[in-house]
Amino acid sequence: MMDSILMPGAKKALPFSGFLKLGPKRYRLKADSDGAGLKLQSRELDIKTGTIKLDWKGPATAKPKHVIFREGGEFTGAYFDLMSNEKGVEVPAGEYEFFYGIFRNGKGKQVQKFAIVPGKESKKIKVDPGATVTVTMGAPFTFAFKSTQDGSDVNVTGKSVEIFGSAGEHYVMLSDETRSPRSSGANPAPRPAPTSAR
Amino acid sequence: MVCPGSRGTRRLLQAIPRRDGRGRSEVARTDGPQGAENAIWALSDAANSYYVNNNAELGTAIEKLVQAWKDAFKTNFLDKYYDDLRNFDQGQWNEWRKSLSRWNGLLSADQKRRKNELDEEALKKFTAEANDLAGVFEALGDKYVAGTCYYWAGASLDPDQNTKSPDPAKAIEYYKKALKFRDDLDHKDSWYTDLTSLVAKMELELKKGPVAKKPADKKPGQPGAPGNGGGPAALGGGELFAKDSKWVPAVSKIRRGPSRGGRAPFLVQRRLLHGLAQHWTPSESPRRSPSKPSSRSSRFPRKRSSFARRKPSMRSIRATRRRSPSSSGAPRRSSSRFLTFRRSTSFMAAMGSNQEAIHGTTVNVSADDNYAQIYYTPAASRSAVDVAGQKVRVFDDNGDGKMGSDPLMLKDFGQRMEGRSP
Repeated sequence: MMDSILMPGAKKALPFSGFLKLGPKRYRLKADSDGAGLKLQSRELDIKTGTIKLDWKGPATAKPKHVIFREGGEFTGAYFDLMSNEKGVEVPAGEYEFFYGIFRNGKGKQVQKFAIVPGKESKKIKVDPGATVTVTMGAPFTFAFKSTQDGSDVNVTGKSVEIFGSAGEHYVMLSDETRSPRSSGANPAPRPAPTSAR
Repeated sequence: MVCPGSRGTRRLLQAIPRRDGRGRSEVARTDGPQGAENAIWALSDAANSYYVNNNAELGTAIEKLVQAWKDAFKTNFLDKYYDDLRNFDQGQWNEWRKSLSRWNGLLSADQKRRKNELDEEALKKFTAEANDLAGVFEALGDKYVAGTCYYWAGASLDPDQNTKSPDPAKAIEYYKKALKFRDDLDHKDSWYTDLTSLVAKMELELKKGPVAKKPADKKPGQPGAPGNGGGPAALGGGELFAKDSKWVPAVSKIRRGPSRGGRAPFLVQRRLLHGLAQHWTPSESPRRSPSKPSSRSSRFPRKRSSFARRKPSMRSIRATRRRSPSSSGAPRRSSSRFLTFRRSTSFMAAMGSNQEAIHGTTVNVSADDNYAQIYYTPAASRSAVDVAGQKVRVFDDNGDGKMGSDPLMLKDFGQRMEGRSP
């Protein structure tokens, strides 16, 4: 759960970030040190930046609404929503890691949603000054699960099914959608065409 | 920081035996301005009276308090702490009382330290006294109080809090001791989480260049100086901040949300929020407009509408520090009596129906005679935040009462799954 910030002229808020780009200038924003959040301070930055771009693979209907990356070094507390700009989001040069993502579609009882969190295979990405790094997420999806074999039957433990994306991201808390497997197998060999008994 | 023997701890000890089940756990969780801390001090106070004065009545109260803690916070902390305290003999209790008066002195000094009223010499004395007192409590076996002393010793050397003579390495050492005691006692609250993050951040800073190791080389306010967020070097090379730039207060005002739509100015106790964690959904600007209530509450649209329509029955609660809603004109319901406040904010609340879709399943979350769940979302925002002449607006979407705070993390998805989720 994150606080959010509404930029000048924007209709949609972004996750609250300690890094702001307002016009051509960039600023560091911080809340007061005792954490009361009663004071905010800003300071102009003079840094080199790069760009992170998200390349979502998979069904367009399941495209996440927010995919948030964060910087863990000098810019701790800076969060960037890659879905805020399809052409790429300008970030300070440094190392980034995937932090959180969410998909939401529909309202009320028809709402469909899932969250995305870093998986064990998620890796940090390095953004060099002036460089554009493309992050691929989504398909091909991997299903990990526990199973037991009982004779010729294979039992998949439902609660153990986990979905991972191509960047190692973990899809969790799926709502209004059951993870039901679609089984497939080789068809038996076609029968020879019936011949006349005569 | 709550003092032992304070009004809050005494009231809590009286309230606990009078209640049972959920009511008791609610008291343990939310009573008093400092919430859980009252319960901790109430335990040590009661244990002291129980063993020194042979006050048998307190035995039952202690057991109930320990159970209330378990019910409220799902940890064995108070149980473990009580196990430590019950092994004290008369001499140890005498020593504990004597040391506690020293601890009270340290508490007063800490308040001055936070206000930067201690000079370098006084800070050194403070650190030495905190370290010494931590050793005394550690020898006695009171890990909780020893942990607070080590924390103070660490804070007095923390570069973020001490720009005069900081010693980050030593501060980390003290902080780690404080964390270890909390670990031993199984008391991993928000304080523990915050301190763990702080230690990790300080260790990271220590590993970086020589400027971070010599914070005294620069005056506070200059780039790279401690306490102002300036690091040794920007990742792109050179200084992090623009030349001649300085930290400028971002002037802003708290917008409590519209008066229509059933938003009551209210004050939120942080602990209550943890139990009502929802996924973060970013604010949309129209949602805060007077004509349109929060979109987050759309999980319960029907109830919310009726909530808003029944505006005349709503009561605005304008509470001040350390005053409960009951003393501020709120309905005298048992649950509301124990809400405590820190600062002014507002939120919007709704109650569920018996058919709410949660994670694809229809769930009954309606109120009954004994129990009601209230779902709420913060309505206040910090508007017109002036950053270099441009206005931005900050929302407290995670509901921790702070606008612009770090994300709240749900460990193990609220124990529903493995892993973590913001």
